[in-house]
Amino acid sequence: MKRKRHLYDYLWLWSILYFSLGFFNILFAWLGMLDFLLPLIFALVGGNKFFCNHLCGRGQLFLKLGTALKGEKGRATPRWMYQRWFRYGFLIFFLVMFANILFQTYLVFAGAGSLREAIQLFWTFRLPWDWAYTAGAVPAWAAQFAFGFYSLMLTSLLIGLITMVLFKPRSWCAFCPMGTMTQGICRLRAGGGGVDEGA
Amino acid sequence: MAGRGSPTYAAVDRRDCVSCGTCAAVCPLGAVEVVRGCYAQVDPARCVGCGRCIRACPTGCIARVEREAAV
Repeated sequence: MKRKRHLYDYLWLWSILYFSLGFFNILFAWLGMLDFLLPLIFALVGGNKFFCNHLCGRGQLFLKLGTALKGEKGRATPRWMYQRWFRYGFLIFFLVMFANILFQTYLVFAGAGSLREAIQLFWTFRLPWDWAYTAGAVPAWAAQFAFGFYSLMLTSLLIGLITMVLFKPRSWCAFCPMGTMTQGICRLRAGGGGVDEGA
Repeated sequence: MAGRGSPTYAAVDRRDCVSCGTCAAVCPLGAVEVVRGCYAQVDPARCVGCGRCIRACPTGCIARVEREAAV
């Protein structure tokens, strides 16, 4: 029995392509904004998680890699990882870090800060990434945002890969900030939290 | 429907479901759908109780249920 395949079933390739492109030219990091905006648009306009369910290349990649690595086995995701306090706590942390990226971008835009051609992993470790940007190609603030955003995307990819190896392939989805945010929006739209009605 | 011949089917505990859609992605029969972005739901009539969704679910919110017990 084989499920019908759709073109969007191959979006895991997009995830690989995105990180590869960002390795060579940091400006491609801007394309990651699609992963930020599309889930919100689907949730706000359509009241669904079509992005998470069908279009998330990262989720597809984890499922593909995780299944290839250890089949359908995998330790259960720790309960605290999908409890509400952690999911919403991580979402708030993630949004604060995103706000920090915007603030750093603003500082460069306003001339109060200089462009740092580096990425920061796990919000702590700074890695030089200067080969991926040619000075003057775009305004410095646009490059600063790209470095910051790529750091965020790569950090979350690494967290997802670690949880994929340790637990179920798509354990990242249990506390993915975009998933938490869009589910929250959908539940608000559905009313009653969307879990209480029906059987 | 295919599932009716099977003694078990999968059922979702909505409280722990994060509506990621992993279950729907791995279901070979298309028996799972995510309802309004809130939770996953299994169609018992189509589910054959193969357990793929149970093994793939990142939050472990899907369990196998006996058909008789559910009536």
